[in-house]
Amino acid sequence: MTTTAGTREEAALLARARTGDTAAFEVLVRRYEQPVFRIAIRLLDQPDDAADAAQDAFVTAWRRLRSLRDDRTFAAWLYRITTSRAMNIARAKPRTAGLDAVPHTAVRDTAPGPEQRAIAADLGSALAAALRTLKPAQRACWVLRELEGMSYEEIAAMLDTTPDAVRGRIHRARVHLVEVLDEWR
Amino acid sequence: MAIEPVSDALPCGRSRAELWEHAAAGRLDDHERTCPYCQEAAGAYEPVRRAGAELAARPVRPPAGLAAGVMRAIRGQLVPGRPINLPAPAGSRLTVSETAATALLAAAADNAPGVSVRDCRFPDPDDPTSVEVTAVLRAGHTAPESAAEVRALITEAAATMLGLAVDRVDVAITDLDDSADRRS
Repeated sequence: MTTTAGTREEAALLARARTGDTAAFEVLVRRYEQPVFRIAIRLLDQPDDAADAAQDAFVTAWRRLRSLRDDRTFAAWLYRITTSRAMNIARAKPRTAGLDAVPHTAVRDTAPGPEQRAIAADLGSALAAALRTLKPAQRACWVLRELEGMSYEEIAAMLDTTPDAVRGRIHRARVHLVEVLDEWR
Repeated sequence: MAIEPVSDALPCGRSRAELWEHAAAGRLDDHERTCPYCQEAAGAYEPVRRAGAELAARPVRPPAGLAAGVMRAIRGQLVPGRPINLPAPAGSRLTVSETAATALLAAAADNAPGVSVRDCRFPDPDDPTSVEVTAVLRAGHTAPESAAEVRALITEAAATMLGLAVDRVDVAITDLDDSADRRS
């Protein structure tokens, strides 16, 4: 994740931020806005939703800074808050919501049909559409594993569950994605 | 969502879950590379793997105002901060919240001609006799003179309002505003 020197520097920033130093926290916000927003948008699609989740995550982190026990785990802790915020937003929405606002139309049905192939401009977009039809928890597990490269243990910690549950969700997500993307073989 | 139940075991005895795990990681073992059942199942996962790699490679840029929005939200709901110890009679304790104290000192320093205070803080909250100010200096003002004003105003405000003898005020000018002076 970070180098030792980077970790020490980050610990110093965190220490200052805990005393109410907003300038120190701003350095961390600018450092982590890219990965935080990236995780959020991969779980949510909509840039507005992702920006809301990201902002919410940083503000929550600021308020809870004193509950972070080990400064070396700041990034993982922040991503965990981000994931939790994004999941709350995702759960509050119907799974195929926002069809009008996304550049490539989402799949309404799990059955892959010719219209779906015609609509998705490319394989990546077809997957993006397919991801929207997954349950939020399955999607989160798959995204954190395949797009963010996290281990089962890391994902389990992130989602407050067990590695076995993560394994199961990822497999169910894969079964569904294989089915939807079958036309692209 | 009607998903056909997929039997996990392949005819060769391998589990599909494990095979896809290996396929996703690009690490098929010797059996999986040669077994026709494994090959078929791995082939079914291939579009997902390729699509995932494509999505993962897409650049993601946060919206331009994200960090600024976060900081506005945070500054708008500042928590009181640590209690700062103030001089008190022996056997008793007197504290002021760090946020309240630095806000008072920042407001005082802001009255220095040519100075806009960005941040004011106690570098060591256990030693409130030392204060650090970050400020923007406007055109038409000289840094050493403005800094001297900042020091005087902070020392005075700390003494009158908090009974605190500030003996060190470091001033850091982080920006120079060379547009016309808007304040007298």
